[in-house]
Amino acid sequence: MKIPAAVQHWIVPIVVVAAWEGFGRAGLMPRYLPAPTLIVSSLFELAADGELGRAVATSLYRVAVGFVLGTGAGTLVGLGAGTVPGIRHFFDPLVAFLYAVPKIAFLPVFLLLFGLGHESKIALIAFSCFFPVFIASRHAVLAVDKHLIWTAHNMGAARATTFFRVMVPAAAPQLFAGARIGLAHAFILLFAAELMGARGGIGPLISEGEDAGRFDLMFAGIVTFAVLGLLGDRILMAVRGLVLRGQTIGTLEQAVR
Amino acid sequence: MVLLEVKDLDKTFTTADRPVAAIHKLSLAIEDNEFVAIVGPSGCGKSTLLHIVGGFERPDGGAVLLNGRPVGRPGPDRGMMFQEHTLFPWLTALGNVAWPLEMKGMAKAERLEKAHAYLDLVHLSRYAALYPAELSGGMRQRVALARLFALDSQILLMDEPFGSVDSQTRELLQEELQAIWRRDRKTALFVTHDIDEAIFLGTRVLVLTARPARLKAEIALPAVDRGSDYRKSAEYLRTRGEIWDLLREEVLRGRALEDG
Repeated sequence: MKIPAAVQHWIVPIVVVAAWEGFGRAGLMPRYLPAPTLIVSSLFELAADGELGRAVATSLYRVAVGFVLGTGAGTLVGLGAGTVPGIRHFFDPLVAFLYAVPKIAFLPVFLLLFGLGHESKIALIAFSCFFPVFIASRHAVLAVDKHLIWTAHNMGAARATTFFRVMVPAAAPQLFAGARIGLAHAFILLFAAELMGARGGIGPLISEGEDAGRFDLMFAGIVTFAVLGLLGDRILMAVRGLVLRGQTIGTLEQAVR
Repeated sequence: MVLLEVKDLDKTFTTADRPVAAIHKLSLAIEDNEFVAIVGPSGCGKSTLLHIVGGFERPDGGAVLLNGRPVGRPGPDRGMMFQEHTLFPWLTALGNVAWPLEMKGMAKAERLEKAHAYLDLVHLSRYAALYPAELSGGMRQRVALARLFALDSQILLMDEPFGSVDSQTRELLQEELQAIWRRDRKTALFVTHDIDEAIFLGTRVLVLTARPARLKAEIALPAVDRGSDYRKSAEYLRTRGEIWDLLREEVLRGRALEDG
């Protein structure tokens, strides 16, 4: 028997949430796991007095600017490193050295450099995005079939034309894969930076809820983070689908859709 | 008049353990409007020859002259068609055929119209809006063929362009290419390992030796009408036998080289 896709998608979340709710109402759940309905009503409460809207706007601003700057820089430098050996030789050891370091460890440095405002969070998010995006872009260029480049040269395309009209589109599927990982890093760093002390944003909402023993508020913040991350990813994938029309046909991705 | 001249060409590749001579003192000349088919045992350096003529690889010695001038970087004067289609997957069939026209600086309306005409030449105008991934292997090579003709080069360099399609499709593609060639009389250098393809398409067949490639023999072919009956004629079968005897020696020698 074949289970419809919609059922497959929703069965686990629904069962988990329903069980959580049921056990919660029966008083069988610990205090730090408030029932889902309680979390949702806190969310509405926060939304009603405008606090949620302000927090979301602040966090979105930080994550969006940081993501765009970091992903943009990572893509440009990565494309450069893939194309020019000199750039590659300069960045490869640096990236290899710093890639595995949790970027949140640099928060104090960024706070001293950029102050306590938005700038330090944005810079840290951009810094964290840079690495996975750089690595994906660098490899994307080096993985391009040389026959495509030869074909462009054969048709008389100049170097710049070959780069922008052939190299970049040929690398585009992997550039998007890099941007997607970059987006995840952006949200992780947003969360971490805001939790470690920030004014405004969703992070303080969570830590205040925690401090006051209001676990419903804490979860309201976590759920908000999750929803924003999901929406961000969906938007990026929608853009990708539009840009890569010809390049997803006949792949496994299309087959499993 | 000689259009393309290859003189004393040398090319050696450096593999992990030792240098391998791919081409040694290879010389040949192609006249205007000739369709020269090159056959040779697999791995003999046929593709390398085309890559050097196309400007994609540099020779270690010798010269390649087009109209008496040495060739340098790749350029639209030498149109290349590779074994795999090398269509741009992010462009439609029409977009791919229009690309070389855009590189020539043709205005958009004009290049789309011309691209349509070239697609029509390979009977694919109905598929103009499809992406390469939506086309069959044979259709992709036909789009690549249309793109090659759109480039309008002085000489066509074709590296086993039908090598990756099934045999029935290949015969049809050969007939289409033959018909277009009869119309346009483009000079072409066509590399293949398939003797039938060489005899069917070529006005002249060059047989190369096993590695390192040198010219072993050349066979001029009669300028008869190449309908599908041509493949069954006594003349065709005699030529086929002659080329196969020449090639067989080299295939065996090539194998001995690989084993030894």
